[in-house]
Amino acid sequence: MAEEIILNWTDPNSVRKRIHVRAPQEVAWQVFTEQMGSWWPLAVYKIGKANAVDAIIEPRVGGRWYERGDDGSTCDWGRVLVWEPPSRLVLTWDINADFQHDPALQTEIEIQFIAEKGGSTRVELEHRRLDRFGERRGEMRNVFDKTGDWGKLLTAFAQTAEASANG
Amino acid sequence: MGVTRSAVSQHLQVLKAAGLVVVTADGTRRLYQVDRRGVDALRRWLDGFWDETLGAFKQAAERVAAKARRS
Repeated sequence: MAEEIILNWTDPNSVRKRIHVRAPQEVAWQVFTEQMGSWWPLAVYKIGKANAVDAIIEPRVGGRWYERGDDGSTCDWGRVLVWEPPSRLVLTWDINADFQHDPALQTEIEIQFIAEKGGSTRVELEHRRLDRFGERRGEMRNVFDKTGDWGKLLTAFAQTAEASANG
Repeated sequence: MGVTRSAVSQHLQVLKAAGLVVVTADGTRRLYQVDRRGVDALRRWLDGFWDETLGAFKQAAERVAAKARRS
């Protein structure tokens, strides 16, 4: 009997998310791009030494995506690759396994804002090109394997970020 | 597929040798998959990260929209 070959080619280097937002497309775009500091979990997800008080996307192709600390310092997260208000945004995510900015990393985040009837919006996010973490993926795995649930992961993240900041 | 079985087999052997795919055998069936070792933990972490972050975004956008509807 001939051997049967089965292929499963799902891209492991991409994470996709989809949410429905009860807000018009324009509002969803505006809140995401102009008011990121009002909703991004800055207490946890920041890379600088200072307390982060804002997250900013410069509204143009090539613009910076960065956090601003309470001491006025800034730390880059990535760049704007595509700027198509109010429907499509592509950013690079240049934060490496040490939770530090590495402009060479360039994983990509595409966010689409799709208007739906009734004045709501479907937001689709893809974080892709995770292969660019390369060998460093293993290091990230070590961080995660030492910990169990999500709460512990957050602690590990904060500790790693602080260690990087102090080191 | 417009290629012969043996050509497919040969291509898969090359991918396997390069560490790009893993193969599991079950009787006469061979399942070829992209090698996910190393990337799964990262994906799990990003999965939770984006759930939390997009959830916070949704709340903020809906708050702004509700306020605009009231005024």
